[in-house]
Amino acid sequence: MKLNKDQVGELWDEITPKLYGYLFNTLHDWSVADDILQTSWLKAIEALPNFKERNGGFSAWIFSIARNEMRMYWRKNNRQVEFDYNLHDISFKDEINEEMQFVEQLIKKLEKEDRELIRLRYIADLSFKDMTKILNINQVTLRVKIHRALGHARSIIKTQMYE
Amino acid sequence: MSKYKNISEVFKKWGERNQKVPENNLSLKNEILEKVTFVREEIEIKKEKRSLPWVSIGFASIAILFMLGSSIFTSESGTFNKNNTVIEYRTPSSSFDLNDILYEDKKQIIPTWNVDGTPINDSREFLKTNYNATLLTRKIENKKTQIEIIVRGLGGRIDSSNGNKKYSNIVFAIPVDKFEIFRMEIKNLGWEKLFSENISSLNLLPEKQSIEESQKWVVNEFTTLKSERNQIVKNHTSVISGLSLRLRSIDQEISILQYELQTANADRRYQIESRLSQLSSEKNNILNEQANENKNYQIKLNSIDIRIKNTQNELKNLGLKDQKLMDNVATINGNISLRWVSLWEMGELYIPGPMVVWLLFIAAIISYFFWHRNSYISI
Repeated sequence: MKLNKDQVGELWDEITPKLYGYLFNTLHDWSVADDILQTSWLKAIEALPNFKERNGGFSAWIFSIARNEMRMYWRKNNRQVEFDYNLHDISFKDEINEEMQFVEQLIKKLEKEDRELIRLRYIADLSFKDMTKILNINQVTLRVKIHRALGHARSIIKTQMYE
Repeated sequence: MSKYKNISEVFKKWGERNQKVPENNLSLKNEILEKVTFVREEIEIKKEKRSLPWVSIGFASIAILFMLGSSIFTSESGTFNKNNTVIEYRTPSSSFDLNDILYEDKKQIIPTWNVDGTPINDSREFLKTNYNATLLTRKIENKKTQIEIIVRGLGGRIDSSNGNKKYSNIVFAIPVDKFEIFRMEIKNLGWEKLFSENISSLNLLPEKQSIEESQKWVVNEFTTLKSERNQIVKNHTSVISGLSLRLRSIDQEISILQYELQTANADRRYQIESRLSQLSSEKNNILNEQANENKNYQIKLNSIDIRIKNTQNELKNLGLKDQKLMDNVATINGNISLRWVSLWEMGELYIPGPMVVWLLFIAAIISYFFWHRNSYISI
């Protein structure tokens, strides 16, 4: 896709739901997610002349910027907010069904690294290639890690069923 | 709980439901797009700056220059001969020069025979064949051993064998009737393009004719000498028998005269004694003549015997020479050089034109694709 205003608009429409969903699921705060989304896009657009595709697609690039922004935010605030439906997601709460709640609980029980992989893979809907660029690991390692994360999730489900 | 069996599906659904746009999506989007106008100009300037794939053009230009250069300056010498079989037939002539038969760097000498032009009415062929081959290989020792086994296996012999890890040379001889099998075996040792052979044949007819002419001459000479000898013996016998006859006649006359002397008167006695003295002198002369004849006869006989013996020896030598020539014709002398070949050289042999040109073209194409790819941005 050659860069022009219309096509940046298309990029926005394509990437923003995933990026915003990812940011919110990680930060658990709408206003912070809004800020980081905006900042990430602005930085991406400003730095677009320096963008080199060999370092991954545009998605990988903007997600890397967003992750960096999140790290800066956490460094400033010195904490990562836990998800709480009552506090953070009043508007979203109406849409929550049983299954969503179940998965959120499951995600919460996963290790931090597994959580991040699941978010990038299923909310951000990134390809393995883009994920390797973001996480700076090779594709084989990435596949193994995702497989393990899913395995952990399965074992948590099994444990819950027996309980 | 069956709905949780496929965990990937569950996460996928969960992920899709989590994908949301912010409440102020439109305003945020517009804000971002307003920034794009400014940034876009910068990008376009950058793109304009590299509007041509200069690297590709550079590589392609160098490749073309190399190609033109190589087509102008390429010379046959110093490169591997791709015509992998060369067969030469030579017939020596009066203007035959030794330099003509020194093949390349092999310094191999084919026997020369200086005779006047060979007439066409003799169509016999006595071909002396010399075989030279060069084999490019990456396994010198292995190929060298294989060649030695082939030569010995076909009843030939190795005359010399030397070399190192990069080069090897084998000089050998094999029977002419095994030559074609030998060639096939050697050809099967390596790839066709890595093999080159040079077969030169020289008709030794002039040498053969010369030997035959010499033999004819020597046989004639021998016959002449034999008849000469017989004539000498015959002459001698005739002379000796004539002299003996005269001697016998003198002896008879002397006996008669001596018998008559006993009863003869003084006058007759004087006559007899005078005659006896004459006969004695004549007898001595005949004896001297006989001795001289024997002496001369012996000298002549010895001389002619020596000449006959020499002729016989010469005939024997010519027979040996003829046999040697036939053995020579029945033997193929050969030389195989093995030379280590690098992968680059192998590439040069198999790829038409200089390999560096191809590499430069490939580099040009790759760099073009990189240039082209960098002109686009994907999601």
